[in-house]
Amino acid sequence: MTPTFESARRVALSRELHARAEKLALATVALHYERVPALAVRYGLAGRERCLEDARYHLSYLQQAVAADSRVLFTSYVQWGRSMLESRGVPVFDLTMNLRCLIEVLERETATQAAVSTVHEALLALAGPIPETPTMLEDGNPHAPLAREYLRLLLSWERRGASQLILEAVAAGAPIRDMYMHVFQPTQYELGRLWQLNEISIAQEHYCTAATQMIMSQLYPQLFAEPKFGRTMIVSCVSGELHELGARMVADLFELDGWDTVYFGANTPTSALLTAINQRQPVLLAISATLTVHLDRVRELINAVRADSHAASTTIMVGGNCFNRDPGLHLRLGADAHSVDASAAVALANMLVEAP
Amino acid sequence: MTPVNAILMCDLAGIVREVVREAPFLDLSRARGQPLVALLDPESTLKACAMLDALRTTGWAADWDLTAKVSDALVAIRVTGVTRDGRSMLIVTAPDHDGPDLDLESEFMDANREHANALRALLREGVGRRRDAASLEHLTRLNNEMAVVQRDLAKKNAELARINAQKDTILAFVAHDLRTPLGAVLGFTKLIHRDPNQLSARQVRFLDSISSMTKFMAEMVTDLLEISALESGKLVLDRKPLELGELIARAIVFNEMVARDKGISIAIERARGPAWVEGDASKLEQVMNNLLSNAIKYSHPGTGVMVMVESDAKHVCVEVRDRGQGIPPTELDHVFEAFRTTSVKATAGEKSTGLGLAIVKRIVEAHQGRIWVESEVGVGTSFRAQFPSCAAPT
Repeated sequence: MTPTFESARRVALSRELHARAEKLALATVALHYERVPALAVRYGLAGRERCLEDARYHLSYLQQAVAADSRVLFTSYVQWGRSMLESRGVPVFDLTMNLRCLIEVLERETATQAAVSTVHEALLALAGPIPETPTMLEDGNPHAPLAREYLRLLLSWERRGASQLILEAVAAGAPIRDMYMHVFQPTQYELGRLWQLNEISIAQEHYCTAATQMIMSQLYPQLFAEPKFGRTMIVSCVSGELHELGARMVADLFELDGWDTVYFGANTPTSALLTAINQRQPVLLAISATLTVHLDRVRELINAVRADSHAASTTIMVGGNCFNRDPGLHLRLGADAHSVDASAAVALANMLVEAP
Repeated sequence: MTPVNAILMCDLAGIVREVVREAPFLDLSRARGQPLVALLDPESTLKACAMLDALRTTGWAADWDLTAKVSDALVAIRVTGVTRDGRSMLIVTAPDHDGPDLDLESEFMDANREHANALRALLREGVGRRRDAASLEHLTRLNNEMAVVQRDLAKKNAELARINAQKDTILAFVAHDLRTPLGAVLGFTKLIHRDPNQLSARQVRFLDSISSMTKFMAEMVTDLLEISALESGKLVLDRKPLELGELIARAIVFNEMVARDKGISIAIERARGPAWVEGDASKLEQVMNNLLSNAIKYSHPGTGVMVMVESDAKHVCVEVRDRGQGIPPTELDHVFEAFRTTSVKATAGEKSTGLGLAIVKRIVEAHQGRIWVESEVGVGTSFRAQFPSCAAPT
């Protein structure tokens, strides 16, 4: 798909925001401190530095939302930020004031309405109730007790116990696919939720994720022993993305379904990916991005594939948290399909491949 | 020199409840029971309140620069603290002397009290949070990269196992299909030999060559089939108690004629009592035949091959020792690997398939035994196989 005039204009606007981000962030913080002098007393110099850090974050999310024509991305970021700050004792007023200052600075310093209206919409949403983030470990999950016990062990820093729990369940006949979809996935979502609510530390979250990566690799001898039927697909994270577990789950579930998979982590240069596509001729390329700030890289990757004459016709599917928030986003980025999770990705891919 | 810093315990209202440690740059003699702000310059009051607020709401506060009042003089101080169970612990440093980096670990070494212990971990977590976040990100990237490599390896391993299984299937298939025509070649060679028409001496020589080469090929096919069956785990043993001395004596008789042709003698030294093992007779005979024929192959004419059988309550050990050329030490580790031949040449130019000892090792191990080799170039080689012994049948 060639970029339309409108999308090219948005990308250009987003680049302009990116180029001027530091200046805009400084101006926003200066205005914020001018409006609320008590901030200086309350948070000191270190607080001002943190305020600047936050303003930079706001601008990088805003820039992506503008480029992707997706206000909902910025709104959901702001709502997430609000719940995170509130759970850490920072009043929501600080956030709304900061966004109001950002609007003023954008109106003063830039000639665009798109960025301003995106922030306005997020401010409106902040005035409403915070959407609840429900736990994924409740009823409806056929392995809920197992998943809860798994999470309990991980949060108690007992990765060996957690590993034993899963290996024993699989030995007793539980399908590996179920462990992925009903234990690992809801556990990861729950960890994100607990972190957002300030109930676990970031170190704990990293530990649990690393433990799940290890436990997944213990299932590999069984996973890779599944018979193959000759379809190849490539999974890639965009560069810089720290959250790679979801992409790995996608690759593994395709492998379990009989596909031959090639998995690239977040460290793969685009040229290496294009070479692999040319050599392996995959039916499908799956690209994963969790954080909205990486959307630029997804777009660049898709454009690079589309510009390569041998790779251009590869079906591209995208996945990850930011795509789940905006159902039309993948089409605007030039992808062919989007799936909400690993299991859906396999089903959708089989349907696409078998379609006449 | 590390400057001594003050440590205070406060309650949630900011009242100093205890002076854990005094510091030379502060006067804390009357601090106990006083609000913290009373120790400070009034200019710092608002800021101190903000810090106490942060301690109450977020549980920690790091590097707050305040001004203390000592007699009539003003002293710059830097305060770091944590809160747990309604008590805040504050470390007060003099930033001018201490520099920006406060080593909290060593700071708490002296304040080794129960409540200090409880707070120590929390403080470390709070103050180090920013530093830790960067380290954690590095660690996560590293871990992710390792996970990618691990997945690649696991996938390649699975592919290798698949290819290996495929190789065994092909091997067994090819070997099986070669066996039949080789049998026919051997049969026809025999028929020509028996033909009443007189053959020339040259023709007889050619026929003998065809016959010996075909026999070697047939032997190779048998070994290939055997090793592929062993590799794919298809070896089924028919194990019964058997006396190993008897079995070895039979194997010696079987090999004696070839040995005599080369001028080599074979002697056996049997254990005092019977040596019972639970084994598959035909497979163990194959082991003994292989070890003996190897010993004969690499022995010089006029020398002897010695076979010894020893047994104790747990094991039966068989040794086949020759006084041949010996195997160089660098090659000794590989003699039991399939398709590995040594640089040592058979003394009468006999051929080797390179599979015999690999088969022997697998058969011995399938009997829960072990086999090893000792050798010295110019002196000779000794193969020893050890099996678990069993009771004599009643």
